[in-house]
Amino acid sequence: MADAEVVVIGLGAAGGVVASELVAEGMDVVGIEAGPMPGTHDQDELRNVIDARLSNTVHDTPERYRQYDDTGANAGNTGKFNLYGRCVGGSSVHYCGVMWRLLPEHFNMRSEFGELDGANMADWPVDYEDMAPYYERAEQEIGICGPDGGQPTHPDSWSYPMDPVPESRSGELLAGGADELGYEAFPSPQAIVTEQYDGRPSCTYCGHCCFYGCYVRGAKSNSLVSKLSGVLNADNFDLRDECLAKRVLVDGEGQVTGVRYVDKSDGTEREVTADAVVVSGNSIETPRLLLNSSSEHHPDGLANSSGQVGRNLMFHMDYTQIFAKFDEPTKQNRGTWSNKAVDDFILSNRIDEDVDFVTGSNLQLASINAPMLYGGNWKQLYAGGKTPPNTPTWGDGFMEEMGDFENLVWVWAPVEDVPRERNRVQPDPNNRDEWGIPGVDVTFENHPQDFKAQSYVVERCKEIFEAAGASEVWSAGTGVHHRGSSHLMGTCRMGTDPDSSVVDSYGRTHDVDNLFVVDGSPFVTSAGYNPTETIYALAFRTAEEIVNEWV
Amino acid sequence: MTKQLDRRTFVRLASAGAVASTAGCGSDGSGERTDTATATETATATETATETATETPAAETYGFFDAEQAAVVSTVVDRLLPGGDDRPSATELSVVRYIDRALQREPFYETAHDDRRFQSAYEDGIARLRDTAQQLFDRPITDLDDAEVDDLLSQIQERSAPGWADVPSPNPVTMTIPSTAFVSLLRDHAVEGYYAQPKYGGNVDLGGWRQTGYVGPFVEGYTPDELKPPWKSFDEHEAEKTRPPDLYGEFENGGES
Repeated sequence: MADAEVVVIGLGAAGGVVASELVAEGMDVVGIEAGPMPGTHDQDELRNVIDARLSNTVHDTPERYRQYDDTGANAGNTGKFNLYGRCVGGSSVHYCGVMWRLLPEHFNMRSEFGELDGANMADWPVDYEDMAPYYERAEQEIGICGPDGGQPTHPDSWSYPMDPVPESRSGELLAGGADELGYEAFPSPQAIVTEQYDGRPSCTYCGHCCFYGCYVRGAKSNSLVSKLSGVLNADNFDLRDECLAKRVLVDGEGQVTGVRYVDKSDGTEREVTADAVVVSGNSIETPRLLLNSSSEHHPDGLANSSGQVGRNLMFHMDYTQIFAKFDEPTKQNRGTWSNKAVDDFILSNRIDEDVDFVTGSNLQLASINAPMLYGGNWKQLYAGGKTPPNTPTWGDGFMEEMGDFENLVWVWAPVEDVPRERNRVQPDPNNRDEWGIPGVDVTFENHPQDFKAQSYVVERCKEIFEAAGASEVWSAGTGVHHRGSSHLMGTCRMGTDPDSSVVDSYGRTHDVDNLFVVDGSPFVTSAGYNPTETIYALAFRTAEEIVNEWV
Repeated sequence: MTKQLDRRTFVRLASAGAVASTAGCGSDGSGERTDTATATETATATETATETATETPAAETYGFFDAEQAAVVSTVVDRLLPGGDDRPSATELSVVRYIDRALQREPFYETAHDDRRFQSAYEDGIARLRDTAQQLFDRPITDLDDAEVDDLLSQIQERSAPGWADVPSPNPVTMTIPSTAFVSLLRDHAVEGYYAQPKYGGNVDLGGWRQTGYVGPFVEGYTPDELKPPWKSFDEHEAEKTRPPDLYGEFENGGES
């Protein structure tokens, strides 16, 4: 008899939901998490942002980044490119918490817009209608606030369990500019508790969301406070934190039997056996584990008969930032990460049939939550500083720019990048972690359409800022191939055809029917929205499938 | 290039009772410090002191820097982040103390940035700065006037200063910095010291935050009304709310994730 019915590897947004759901149904579950249980949270920008203590810019997995021409085992750069949590709750502990339902078109990008040279466009094996009940569960059970009626550009309409966050000055400015041009700014749906909810306290609008754990503890909804905390003491749940999965084990038939992992407390290797395994790393760690688990039955990596494990990696154009400065204070660092958003360019060809690209982006207010983060620091992800081009880096000119810190508004755009087969994650045997496990070798170049979409939405945002009365407008992070991201999607694409996809719509791998993948990896296309509500929704759906099969 | 606390800053600091700690770190370019201790007694004395402050030998002792190294660092950070009519200089916010502590600080968690690895970069970099100043101006760096220090830093930034031609820049791709990129390293450490929470030794009396208008974190956060104008002042917020206890104190469990 196995040690557990199900082992869940990685207790982040998806794994936390799946584990909690299975435990609540009475199943014996072992959770393996590479990081620790998060401790107390503070509002300290040095620890949380510059040093990224929860998001692990300096984490345990060695990374290599290369472009297409960087051939040879040691080409490219080694460093830290991707941002993800390594603790119980995963990236949902430090995320900004902006939540979206994808549009119906997002599930059918290939059917809607056709083939695209140099991209690997495909439809999801689920439609919006299939996903809607699980989005609703995510909103209710995770705890998401938002505007009555839902997202204004979405054909469906729905209610969130809580009112949206109160309007801030930067929200008011964005709304004014958008309105002037015939667009609409609306309150960003967020995993924020705006009134006491499910025993958790209301947000205090302290302004420390992204990169931080919630200072109020529980006002930012995530898989830990919303789901896992309810099952941590259950007899049928065995949480093994600071344990790093090394290899998924298989039997003589190629079926999954359990996991070998490193107990980081003493470096010993242990095994846990199970009837089924759920892999919920993320689009970097999940393919790393599967490809490091090759065996006689799975010579090219576990569940990789299609050759698609690790491919179609998507990042969003996560570096895209647009700034405005006003003559009066905005105090944009107060409130939550994102006060309002503009959705008119989410699929740009909806409003502008002349555009020669297929994607687009949500535009969402973001927050520079402390002056240090405006000043720039090489330790800070994405090269730090956000000051206008040609601002001096020191001296009187620099200090004067810092004096304008409270007059800023910042919009961030998760521009949809299209999937490409060549954009992939592979194990890197030349760059191993301290336990000897191969790190990751990431090849990535954006498709030309991505840059067109980015340029388009950046220009529209600048127009909105100008209409709002900004005295200075600038952008950052444009025109460069992305090397990494905090929005990790793809690498175990879902689909109906085992030759061209890795998992089915429930996250079950085509090759091994007791192995599931659920995180951002099954995403087929990336959509121009923060991905986590969809990750939550997929997790609820996968959990339901597992329960239906076993119970 | 002795810099005095400007009057506004000084009065504010004096009223907040923070003068003693500020003065203790107000090491100026000559290795001496501005004596502000006598100014704490009355407002009248404060104004007098601001205008006619006398100098006494530096009393600040550092854990990593010796007095001469501290003097060089003080000279440079006060030109990287210079004071002005409405803002304190880097040394007035104890940025040198911040850097001194950062170079000895345990990392926040196991795999975090460990600034202790830059100790030799500072040893070497300070020595190189002194040599370069001597070569360019035939005087110790601590004797240069503001314009000369600015000239020195500009020449280093442009790689035209003798001995600095091949110095690399921080690598934003890999988020690493070569230890020879000393002035970039010092600049970023100075910005940290000016704006980080005061528990790390700099940003005395939140002077860096006041310079930007940033009010900073409170236990209570902000009410919905406080997300829009009319804005309350820094001092009104401070009077009404409670600062997080770790803002000024050492964090109790620095290794915790």
